[in-house]
Amino acid sequence: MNRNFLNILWDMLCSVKLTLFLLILLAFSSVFGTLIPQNEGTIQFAEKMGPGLARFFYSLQLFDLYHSVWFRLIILCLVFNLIACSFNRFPSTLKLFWLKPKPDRSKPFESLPADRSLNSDRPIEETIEKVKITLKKKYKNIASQNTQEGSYFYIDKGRYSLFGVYLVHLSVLIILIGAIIGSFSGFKGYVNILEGDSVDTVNLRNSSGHRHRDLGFTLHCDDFSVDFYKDGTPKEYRSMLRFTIDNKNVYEGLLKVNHPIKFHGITFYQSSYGSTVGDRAKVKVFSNKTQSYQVKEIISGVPVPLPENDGEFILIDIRNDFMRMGPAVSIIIIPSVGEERQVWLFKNHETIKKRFPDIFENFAKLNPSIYKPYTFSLTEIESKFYTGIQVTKDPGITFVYAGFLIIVLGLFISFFTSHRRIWIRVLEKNNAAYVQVAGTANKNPVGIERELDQIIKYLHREIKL
Amino acid sequence: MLNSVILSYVTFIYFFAFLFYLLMMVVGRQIFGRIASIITLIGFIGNTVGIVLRWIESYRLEVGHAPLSNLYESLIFFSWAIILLYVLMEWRIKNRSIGTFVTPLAFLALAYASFSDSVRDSIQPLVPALQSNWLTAHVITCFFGYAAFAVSFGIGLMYLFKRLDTPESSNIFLKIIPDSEILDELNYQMLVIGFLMLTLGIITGSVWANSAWGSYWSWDPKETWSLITWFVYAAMLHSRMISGWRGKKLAIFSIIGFVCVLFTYFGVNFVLAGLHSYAT
Repeated sequence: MNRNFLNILWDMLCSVKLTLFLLILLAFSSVFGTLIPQNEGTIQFAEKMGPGLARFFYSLQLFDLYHSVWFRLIILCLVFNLIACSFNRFPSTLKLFWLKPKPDRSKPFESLPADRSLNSDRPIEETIEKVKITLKKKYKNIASQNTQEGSYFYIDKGRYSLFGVYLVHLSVLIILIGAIIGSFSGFKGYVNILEGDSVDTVNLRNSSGHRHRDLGFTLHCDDFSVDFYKDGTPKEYRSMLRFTIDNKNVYEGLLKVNHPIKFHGITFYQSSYGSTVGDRAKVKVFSNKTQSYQVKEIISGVPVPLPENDGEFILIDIRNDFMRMGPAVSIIIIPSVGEERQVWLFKNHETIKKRFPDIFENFAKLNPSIYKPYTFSLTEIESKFYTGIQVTKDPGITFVYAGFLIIVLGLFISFFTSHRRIWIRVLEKNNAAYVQVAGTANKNPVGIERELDQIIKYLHREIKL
Repeated sequence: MLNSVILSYVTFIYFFAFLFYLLMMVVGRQIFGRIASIITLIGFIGNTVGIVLRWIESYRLEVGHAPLSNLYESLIFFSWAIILLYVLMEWRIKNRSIGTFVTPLAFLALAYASFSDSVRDSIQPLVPALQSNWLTAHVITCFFGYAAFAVSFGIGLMYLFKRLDTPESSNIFLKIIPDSEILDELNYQMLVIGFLMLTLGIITGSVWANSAWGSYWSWDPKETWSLITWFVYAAMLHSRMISGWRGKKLAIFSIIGFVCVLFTYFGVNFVLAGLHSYAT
């Protein structure tokens, strides 16, 4: 009873129908994962569908479907199915592989089509000799045997093609092993570094435990630059990276998109960039009295004297885009006598004036000539690039790539090669010799027929007069 | 631009090829088939010239890259690959009826590329992530795979038509279609090419993603759908091992598989967003 049950279970595990079922099941469940937002988009989606349904989705892990227990279980079932199938079939494949050639078989010649039989115009001994020579020209490893009825030849090629399918299945296992290694002993993180700045930790993605990871060394971004196409889309961006341990330079390299840098088992990828404002600006101060101007480089919070020592002004705010009118700074003017005034200066003063002609005169806080006799204008704000770097460690990648190579090799072998077995016999009937050609292949039935036709054609040339 | 003008003419050439293939099958005269083959070849040459001109043009615009970088360019390559596979097949099996089922697919792909407002035919520069040799390998393998699946879809349809044929029937259309066994074998051959190419496409994409973003698999909708397609065709390959599953079931599989291909290709771009958003 128990044994019977185990047998049924094993048979089921070995069946191709189970494979089919599991593959279709995987396909179906993956479809759901593309329809339900995963991870990041989850919250808005859950709000839309109400708490009850959302809880149901959470309990089924539908918001992280590809890492859910049940999705992994399906993959596990497929792995067991694949291993069981291979174990089940491999012995008979090996047997076929080691099979000793048996040239004198008559079974292959049963129900042979008429055009696979050829009457010879030569006597039997000469026919056998001709067949032997013709075959030797085309094939290596011809087994032959003489019996009372006549002569048999046997050709066997492409035996290794029997293993193609096992290679493909093995590669799937290797890729999965690589993925498991990667998820247990690797990590995925990211870090933004300001140009000229350095970091020694990175932020981790999708992790429940630690949010940061110590690199064990310091990563500096010494320089960042970006090129653009004529139409303004970015063409290339790159970061000059320097790796230091205990303040000693260990490695320097240029990081570009598609050209990662590997250091101490951790790989760095250029993934994005952006800019933030610094704390410096250049302001031009024009004096109506002297009809001359001075350009002052000012640092946030540090008072700067006005021309003719008439007081001072302080930079208090820098914005990349203020009121959607572009870069701007806010300064406070502190005269030696009288009231303090705060004013915003825009870098795109002229273009704004064209769009809103009286805006600067009408609003005191925007008027650059509010404190007579001076007119202030902003010429430049300091902006700093930061580079966005993806940081990963994946010791499983070697396995995954090895799996990729093996799967391609395996598919080639199992799709484009076949194990072909060809029998040729020369017999005698009513004192006349005739030749018969038969063959089988495990794949590509059209291919073997064509090969047999070819052999008939060659033999025809040799044994017909 | 000259290349897109030529390619829009090729659209009509493929349509005429389809009409003549159809005429051959309805009337039963081989002469129409021969004309159809010639028209198809002319279209194929035009298609090739269009792609080459576009490549040269991109260098003149100083953005120089193989024309395989957006939806428009993928569509013209898709129709080119479909016709290439078809021409080779016609030459090998000496039967033109498959043309009736395959040329309309190339025509539709080109028509969509040339005449839809949502498909931009301008040559765009490559953003940094796309500047990689993997781009060429990835797109060529994927679209050869898709093209093989498109042909397999056509053959699957023919198989279902052929089942309507009986020895007593005098329907010329059905008589010209090759025998079921031949269709089954051809379908399998296309499946094999498609599956190998799809596998290579997924692998090249994966290796590329690993060098660009540091992750060989991120369950992005396009990736996932290509895997779904891979599962379906893997199931189709295994189904041949079950006795009695050849023939009709294989034909139906090739139709379902192609629906998955279409969704991977178009559906994901319009319905779901992800890393492949630049492929529009």
